[in-house]
Amino acid sequence: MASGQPAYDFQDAQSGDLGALAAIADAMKSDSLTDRLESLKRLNVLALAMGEERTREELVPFLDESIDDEDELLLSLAEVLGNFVQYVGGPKYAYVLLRPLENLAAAEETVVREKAVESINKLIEAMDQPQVEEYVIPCIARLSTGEWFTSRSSAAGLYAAAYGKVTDAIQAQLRGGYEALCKDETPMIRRAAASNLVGLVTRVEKSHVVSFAIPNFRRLAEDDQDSVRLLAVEPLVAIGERLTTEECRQSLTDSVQKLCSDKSWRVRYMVADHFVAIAKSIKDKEIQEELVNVAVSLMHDNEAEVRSAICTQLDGLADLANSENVAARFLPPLQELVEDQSQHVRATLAKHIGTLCRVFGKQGTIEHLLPLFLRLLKDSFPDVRLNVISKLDVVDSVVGIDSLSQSLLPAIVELAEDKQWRVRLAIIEYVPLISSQLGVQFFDEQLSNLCMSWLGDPVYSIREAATVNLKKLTEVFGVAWARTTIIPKILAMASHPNYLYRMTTIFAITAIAPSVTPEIVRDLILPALESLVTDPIPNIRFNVAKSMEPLASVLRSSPETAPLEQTTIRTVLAKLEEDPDPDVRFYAHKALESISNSA
Amino acid sequence: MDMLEVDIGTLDSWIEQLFECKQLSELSVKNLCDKASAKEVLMQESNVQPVRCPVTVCGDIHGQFHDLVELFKIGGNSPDTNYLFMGDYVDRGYYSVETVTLLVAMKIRFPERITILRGNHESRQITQVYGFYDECLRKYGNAEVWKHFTDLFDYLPLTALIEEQIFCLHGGLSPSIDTLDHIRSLDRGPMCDLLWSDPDDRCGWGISPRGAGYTFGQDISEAFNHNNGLTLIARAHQLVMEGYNWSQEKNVVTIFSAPNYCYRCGNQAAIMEID
Amino acid sequence: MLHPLDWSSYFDSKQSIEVGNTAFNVYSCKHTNTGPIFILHHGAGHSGLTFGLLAKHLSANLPACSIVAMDCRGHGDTTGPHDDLSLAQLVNDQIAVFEEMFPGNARDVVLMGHSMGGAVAAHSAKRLQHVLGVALVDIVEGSAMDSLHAIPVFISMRPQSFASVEQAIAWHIDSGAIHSVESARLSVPSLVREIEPKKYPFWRGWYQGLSKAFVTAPAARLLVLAGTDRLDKELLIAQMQGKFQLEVLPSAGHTIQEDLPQQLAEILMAFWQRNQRLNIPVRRL
Repeated sequence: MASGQPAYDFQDAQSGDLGALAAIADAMKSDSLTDRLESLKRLNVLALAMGEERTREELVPFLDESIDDEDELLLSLAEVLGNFVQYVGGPKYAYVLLRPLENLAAAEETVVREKAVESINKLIEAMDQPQVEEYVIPCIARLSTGEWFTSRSSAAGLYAAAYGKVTDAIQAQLRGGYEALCKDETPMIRRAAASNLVGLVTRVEKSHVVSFAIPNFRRLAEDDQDSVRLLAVEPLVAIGERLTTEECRQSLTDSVQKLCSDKSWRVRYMVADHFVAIAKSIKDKEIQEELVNVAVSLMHDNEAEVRSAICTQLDGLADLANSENVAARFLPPLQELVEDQSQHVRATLAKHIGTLCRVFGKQGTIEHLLPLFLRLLKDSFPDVRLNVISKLDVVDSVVGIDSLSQSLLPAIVELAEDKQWRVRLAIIEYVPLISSQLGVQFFDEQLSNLCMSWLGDPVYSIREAATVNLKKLTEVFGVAWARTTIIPKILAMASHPNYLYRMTTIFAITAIAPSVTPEIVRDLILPALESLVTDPIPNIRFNVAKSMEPLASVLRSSPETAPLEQTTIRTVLAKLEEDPDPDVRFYAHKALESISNSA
Repeated sequence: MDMLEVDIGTLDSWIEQLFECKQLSELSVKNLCDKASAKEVLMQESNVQPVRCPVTVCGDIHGQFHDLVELFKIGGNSPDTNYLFMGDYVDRGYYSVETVTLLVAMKIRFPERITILRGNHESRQITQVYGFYDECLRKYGNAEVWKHFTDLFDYLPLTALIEEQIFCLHGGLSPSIDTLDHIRSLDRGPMCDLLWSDPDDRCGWGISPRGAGYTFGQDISEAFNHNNGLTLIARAHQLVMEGYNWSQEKNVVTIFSAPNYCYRCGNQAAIMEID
Repeated sequence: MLHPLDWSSYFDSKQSIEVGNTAFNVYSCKHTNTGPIFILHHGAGHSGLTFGLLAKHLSANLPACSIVAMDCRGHGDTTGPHDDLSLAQLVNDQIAVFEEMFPGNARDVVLMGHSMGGAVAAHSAKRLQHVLGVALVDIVEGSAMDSLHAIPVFISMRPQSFASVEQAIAWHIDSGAIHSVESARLSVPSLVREIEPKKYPFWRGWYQGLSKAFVTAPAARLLVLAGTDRLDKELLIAQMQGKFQLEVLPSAGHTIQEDLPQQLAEILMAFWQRNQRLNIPVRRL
């Protein structure tokens, strides 16, 4: 199937230089946005045709002059130019691409500017020191002093890449320029400066971390706009990582405290979301101890977003706290959080609370955490239940499956019949793990009926998961067990009056076939499928046809059963190939072809 | 069946692509509607298209593509499960293009396994007001895809009849139609009442508050079912909070398959399995 | 070119109807004593003249109908106290004026209101006899409530004064507030005198509960929107349950009756005709 043909074929342009630019000029002026986009995607072909010199001297200036007003095109152009170095003659000519990109970096649309900045950074990567100094530094200077905020905002994204590629004197200029952006009167520019500060923090020399990065970080962290302050959180972490424990204590403690108790919840959210990273970068044990208290207070924050964010940090927090009193400090807020009025907070908690088992230890988990899990398992919001279940493996690695099953099994069995099918699905996926740990006898007594009932679930995805579950259980408990326990029950469903359940039978036995012996396929599975060849419903018949290929490959694995492929299976398919229903004929024919190919 | 220039492999690859919620190219949509014998497949069907059991009956989808995928997770995949959709694939949701393209592609690939009827939103006028037209412009930069589909909509059958017993259509009955044979003899094209009418608690015919079609009472549906040897009228068209609603002493069932309609109505969705 | 137009080309009469201490200025067309009565209520800041062109089209196509378009309290040529612009007061005013004009009415009534006037229409429906239909023009509770906070900004963007009436007409046309030059020349002069910030306190009350009042109004229901379909949750559910008729006019601005008077007149007439009696089509044999 051919994809859409563009109206302008640039392949033609390769045959000669004539009209190449005219063609692209036309295409770029086409009324159709698709044509214009397509023409941009093929710029490299055109550039190859024109050669490096003409690309530099004609194509790039042309692109610069004919800048479009469609953002989608500008975005595409910004991306193309970043990958265009090879077409203009390699890194030593990369500078010719700076001019159009500088214009794009001043564009109104944010995504265009961001892409232009990304592309300029690629050019900087390719350039050597003299080139960066000659071409990039003036470009950064122009953008940084641009009248319109868009160019200054883009400028902030270029300093870090250029910084490592220039002499000390110019580095000093760059620090000065960046400081001006940090002080810009437009909040948007200060936001850009804050988001790009991390790049500089990691590149400047240690002495300039103190003389340049910290003062600017402080300025941003105390900005009157909360949208600026919240962007100071990531630079804080980066700065902390470059300082010694003592330096952190002296220079950062104050700012950390202020950010943690900021009056704007968006700032507190950002702190909560980066909490462990902040604590780790500060290093000082004493401060970390205090920070654990701050974390506990964030668990009580008025804003649900903040409470939710701090819940994502539980794993790391547990490591920070002194393990002896971790239960005492965390339990009270956790007990409140399991009853939180926001279902999203409870869902986030449910996802992360399991990680605490590690620090609570076996006894502590059984005593303190399992009751909380139980409450979350009975939450009215399905996502909460789902999140606890999907993390139960972490829990049983700590407390052992025995304790887990004793305390949680009743709740799990209840959830196996949950009204939300995704909850049932999560339980099913957890069954092979529980079963492998609890053993055959426990399974046959407690879970077997449950597993079979899922095969008759009204929701297709549950029936499908139930078949996969049986395959996994066969792998856990062995073929002999499957032969006597599961397979007879599945085969009994082959005569279910509803075609969807008869179909489940086909899916289930096809799924477990590779996990059982060729003899079982021959003695039990194949006869059951043969009996469905005359099923009144075509959907059953074409699924019989579909199942023949995987069965054949199992039969092929033993010399005793291999001949059946060319006898029984071929007979079944030959019959189905004569079926009145076109879909049955189609799948039978397809299976026959594949069997013939393997013969 | 002659698939002309679009073969089964291509159709299968389109269906696979659409299931990932990736729209087809403009040219592929053109081929789907014009060359893959979509119109021929649909034209061969009757205005009262006979459908065999078992089948799963679905109501309005309205461009809620991800909910359609969820519907298949619950009801089973096509072609393993047979489906009958009762119209309103497009408008209001954000993925009308992907939704209608997928359903049409599935119809052409498995004509025996899926039936798609026409809803009141499968119309040139309505789609210009409620979003499908704008979505096509946004996603393709021009109105060609909208044109291909709205041309195709004229070929969709209006009603279906499951095992001679359950009469399925988007809206409801019409005072100018007494029998299924009337409908069979209609020209394909706008037969407004069948796509617009609603059942009502009041007896007899009423003016529909919608500005088109009628309301019909239990006496009307009872008589229609009796005269045509039917047990049930299954229809969509109205949002019902539980996803389905029996009315008129089980002479009529309403099925609505777009959950949380327009991402804010808070309603459940339903499908009806008939075996 | 933009000199003001007089009401008399659009309405048959301009009369003053006194209710209590308020003298309501009422424009009307009263062709016969049969046919439906269309009661039109303008929006905040407008006057009865906003319906001039619509009235002309309605009269031309439906000679038997009567049309009433009053200037509501605090607007147009109506005089008297205007501190209380609450919804309850406006509804009382509309009903009092109607009863004064059509005592013991037995004719079909179609209530139509634009913007704020839509709320008056929807709430009047339950209190009047013989209401056949309620029509709301470009008002949706959800979006009105969402944009309340922006209205002071919107008003502050309007010029505080105009050098002449012509300039005011030109501003309304150039700013896109009114698309039709003819209609602007008719309706703008009556609104020049007032920009009243003190109305702010009433806004919330006008719109709160509007969707519910509309979908439960004991009459046929019509909602006409300009631009795009933007129903709130309650209206969306009601529309999807077939409880009202929705018409969307993509090319109109907010003041639909001035921008597309003929189209709106046709919609209104069809709405009245469709709902006055049930026409069962002749069955084919």
